[in-house]
Amino acid sequence: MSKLLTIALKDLRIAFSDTSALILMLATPFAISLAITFAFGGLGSQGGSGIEEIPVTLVNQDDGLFGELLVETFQSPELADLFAPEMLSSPQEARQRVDADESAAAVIIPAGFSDAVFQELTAGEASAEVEIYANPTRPISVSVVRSITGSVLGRINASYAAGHAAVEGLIASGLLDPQQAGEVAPQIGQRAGEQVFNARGIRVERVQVAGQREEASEFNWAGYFAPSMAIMFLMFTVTSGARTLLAERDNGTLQRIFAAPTRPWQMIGGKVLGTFLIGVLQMTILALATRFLLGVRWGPPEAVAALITAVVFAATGWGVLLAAYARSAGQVEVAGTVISLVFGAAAGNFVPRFNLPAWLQQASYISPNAWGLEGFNSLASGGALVDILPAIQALVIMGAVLFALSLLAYRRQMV
Amino acid sequence: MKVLTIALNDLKMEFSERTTLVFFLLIPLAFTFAIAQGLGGSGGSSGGPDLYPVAVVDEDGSMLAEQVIQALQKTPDLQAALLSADQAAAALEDGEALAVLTLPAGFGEALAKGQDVPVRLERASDELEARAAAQAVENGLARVDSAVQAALAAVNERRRFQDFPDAEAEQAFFDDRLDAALRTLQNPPASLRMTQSESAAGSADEIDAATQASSGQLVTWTLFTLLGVSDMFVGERLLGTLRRLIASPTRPSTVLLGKLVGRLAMGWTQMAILILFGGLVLGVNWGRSPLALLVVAVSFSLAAVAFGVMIGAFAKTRGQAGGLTTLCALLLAALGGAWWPLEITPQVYQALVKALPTTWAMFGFNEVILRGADVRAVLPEAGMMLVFAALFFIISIPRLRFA
Amino acid sequence: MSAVVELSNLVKKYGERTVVDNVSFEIRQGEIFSLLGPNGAGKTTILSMICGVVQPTSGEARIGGYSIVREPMKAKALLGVVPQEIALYDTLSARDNLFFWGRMYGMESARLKRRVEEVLELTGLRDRAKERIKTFSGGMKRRINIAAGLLQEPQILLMDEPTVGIDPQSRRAILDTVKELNAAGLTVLYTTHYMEEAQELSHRVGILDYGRLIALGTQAELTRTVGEHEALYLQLEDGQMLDQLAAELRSLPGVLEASTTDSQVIVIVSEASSALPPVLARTAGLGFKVRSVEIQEPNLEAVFLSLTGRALRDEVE
Repeated sequence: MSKLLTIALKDLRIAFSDTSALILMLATPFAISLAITFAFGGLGSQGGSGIEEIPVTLVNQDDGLFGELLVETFQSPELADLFAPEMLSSPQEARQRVDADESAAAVIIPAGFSDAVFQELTAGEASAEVEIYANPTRPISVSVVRSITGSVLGRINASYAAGHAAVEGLIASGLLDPQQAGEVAPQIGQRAGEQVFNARGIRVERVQVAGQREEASEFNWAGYFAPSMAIMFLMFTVTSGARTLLAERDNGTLQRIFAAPTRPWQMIGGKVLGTFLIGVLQMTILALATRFLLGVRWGPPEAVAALITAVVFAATGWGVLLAAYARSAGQVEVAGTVISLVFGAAAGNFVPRFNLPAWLQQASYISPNAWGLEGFNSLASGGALVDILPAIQALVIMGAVLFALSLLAYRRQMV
Repeated sequence: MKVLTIALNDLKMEFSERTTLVFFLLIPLAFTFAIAQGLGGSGGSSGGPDLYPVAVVDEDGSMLAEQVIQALQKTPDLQAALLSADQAAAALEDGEALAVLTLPAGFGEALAKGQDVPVRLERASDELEARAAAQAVENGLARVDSAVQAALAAVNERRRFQDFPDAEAEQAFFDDRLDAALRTLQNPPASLRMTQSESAAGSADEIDAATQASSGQLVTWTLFTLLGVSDMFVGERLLGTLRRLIASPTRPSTVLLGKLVGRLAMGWTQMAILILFGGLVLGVNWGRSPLALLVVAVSFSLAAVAFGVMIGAFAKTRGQAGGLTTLCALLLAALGGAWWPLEITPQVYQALVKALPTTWAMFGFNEVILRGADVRAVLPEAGMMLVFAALFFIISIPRLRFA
Repeated sequence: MSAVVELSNLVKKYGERTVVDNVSFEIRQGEIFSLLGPNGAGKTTILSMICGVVQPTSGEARIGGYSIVREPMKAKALLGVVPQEIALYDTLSARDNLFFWGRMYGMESARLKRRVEEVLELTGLRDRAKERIKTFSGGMKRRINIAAGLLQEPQILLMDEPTVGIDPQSRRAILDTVKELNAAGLTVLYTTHYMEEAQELSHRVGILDYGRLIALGTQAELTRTVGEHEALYLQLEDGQMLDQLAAELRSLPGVLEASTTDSQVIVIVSEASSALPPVLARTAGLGFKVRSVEIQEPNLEAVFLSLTGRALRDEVE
């Protein structure tokens, strides 16, 4: 055991004696955390999907109640963070704003909109249509505008349905004279409408996969990408760290270690321990930095720690395997980068995992990235240690198998 | 010409390593393919099945619950099945149902009284389909909810005129009004219409997620290739061949130009293959103006290769060059909007990342692809990237050491 | 003989550090000129300045009359360069490398083809021409390195320590090749820290120490600077604490200078016969065993020693 430690310490000493490499090792996770912080929420704010201040252009050519309602919704204080509304008088101007990418969408309420809705009350099939002129380069913003508009229209329609149902019901019951309806109907309609406008009976509790409640049905970008970047970076570090193993072989010190009564597992274990510790250190820095700078919830500390350890263990295994089978330091570098990129892309480090085809998601389980990402996602949406035990198990087995394979390779080489 | 000789020599060296081909071609192609498959399917449409399978668990059994089920079954996007709780849970786990709605006991009664009633909507995953299915269920529920509230309001109005003779009559009235309201809401008066810029590629409704991802992929992979010019500089400097080149009657500018040409040729080839593969095989929409696409791609490649030279000028070992190349490629791509859309980021962030060339590349590509822009429209973005290229060259060329 | 290379007051400073200090000499047509000096003396820097890779801080170098600073293209065209490191693309074949470098010297196809075959023949690597440089042994790499410098049939060949770290056969082959080429009319500037090579090859030698040219001339002229002195070469059994021995010997009367290299002690004395006994006595007295003694005319090593008080080669090779 002490030989293992001796080797590990030697490597750590070498690693820490190179200040520029050290800085790179520790500063880069910081830089990445900062980048993620900026991307998803700004310093000091709560992490989450950070869409804010959507520039939306409003044109209200209606002089009635409903047009006003729609405009007020966009201008309301509750939505002040979400939207940056701008009122214009000309639809053409509004569309130009969108074309020039200064606005995400133009919401154009036609003249007579409210009337058209009311007209239904007494006769006709007139339909009142709000136009949303969308900016094709901002699809997410557009969908937000669309859903807000849709929900306001939904309530308008509900009010209308209430009024209509009420008046129609009264007429059908004989309590209201069709002739008189024209005079009285608007009042009835309005009252019924108002009653219904903000009424809600059914309240939806949204629950996601692992049984956890979720606040919004929007995707938590920061919560996804913080661990994603961390794992990506880890793979790079670990596979390029494997170069030192080959450097030792190249300059003969490896043979010398074996000439002394050292067992292969002691040698490998010692070399790997150093890389392992550095990997854990980096991931921890990243987790802490994004937690405190951005408020990204990684999950319960003991679960996060366990998962980090398991992920680094498995990742290090890949690094060692690489070093065992590669024939030169240059090869390790290239192969390491390739593997990191392939694993990263396949597991969903670049593009959210659920957007990848099912077969790829399955295939990516060969990488620590996939297990780690799923594990961290589970923890971030409220899971606990017990929920990620399968992932930890898989990672530990992965690491163990890889180390065993590496030992085989080394033994063959030493003979 | 010596420039060509140097360029060809570099290419020969790059491709003498078989691993280069993996990096250069196989991986990008594989991922473009995988992502296109995952997001859009080869038809290039927004993909997904025509009907989202969902399950409803009715623990209530009331008429209103029945109404909800019927409403969901009538929803065009959904394929709603009525299942027991166990069956539904199994379906969710197997992926046969994208969402499960559970109507608790007492649902109908409470709702009819105008009370607040919680229902449980469980979504299978974070996938786009599951989200869309859940949203469709919520929309259906909202309609029923509105109809119920409308019927309740009608009952109230009716009561103002005259009391109901008995509970049955009230119930009958309510049921009748509920039907009426549901019918009304099938064809509601107020609606919205989506439109967008005329010249935009594709329709406003179909946002092709694969198309969106394609430009991000293009930027990411070619960035690796182009920034890799740094390794060439450092490697040759350490090898001594750069020095030998200078000792020969070859101007330093010729050497630099030769290396740039070689690297750009690689980058352009890679981009061409990815674009053609994406467009022809995967149905990715690259916009309407090939010329505009070309302008954006070329100006981006110049900025990227210049950045690579900058890395090469400052890195002292091949390890440093390689590490910086990878790191910068990942950061520039990610931060510039190649992996996640800029629109979800804070305004401050969006302003700050304008200092990155990749951000402008993404702007340019998006203009071409999503808006169907022509050359004139992308000149600002292209111009900006050329400025970056010039800036990086100005910083790095004086610092380039050949020995 | 006309001067083919002229260095005038060449200076190179890196910040405060002066690496080449006011060096002037000329290389005459048809000669082999050796620049001899310990590691770090500035040989490579001077060579780099001659072929235009490094800019002099002040002073000038002219090749064939062309200033390397003002007319670099013309000057470089006359040079062939064999750098100290193997400056070749090791993932490419020998032939590919040669073709590339030939093009860099502006050689056109027909001539280049012919020359590539000729230099391959000359360096004995014709049958390995298609293989990657990576697969070559150290000696072979050095030979190809030389071949690349000869392609364009230069007037002057600059060779920077071309035999470092290779096996004796390859070294022999290289030295013979240099002599052959010189016999055919090639002017050679040869830097080295191996005295034997300088001795074997050169017509004239320049000795460099800490950036300064401390001696210049034919070998005969140089050894004469040591004066009428003689040199004793003692081969000892053990190589420990030789510094102490050197210091002790220096204190003996009749000893002008003493220095040690590996297990060899060089003593410069005014007269060998009278100096030898006390030297041997002191050596034995200090516990060293002497295996052999030679009395010789001083060689370049001795010249260096007498000029600087130090050995040409480092203590630890």
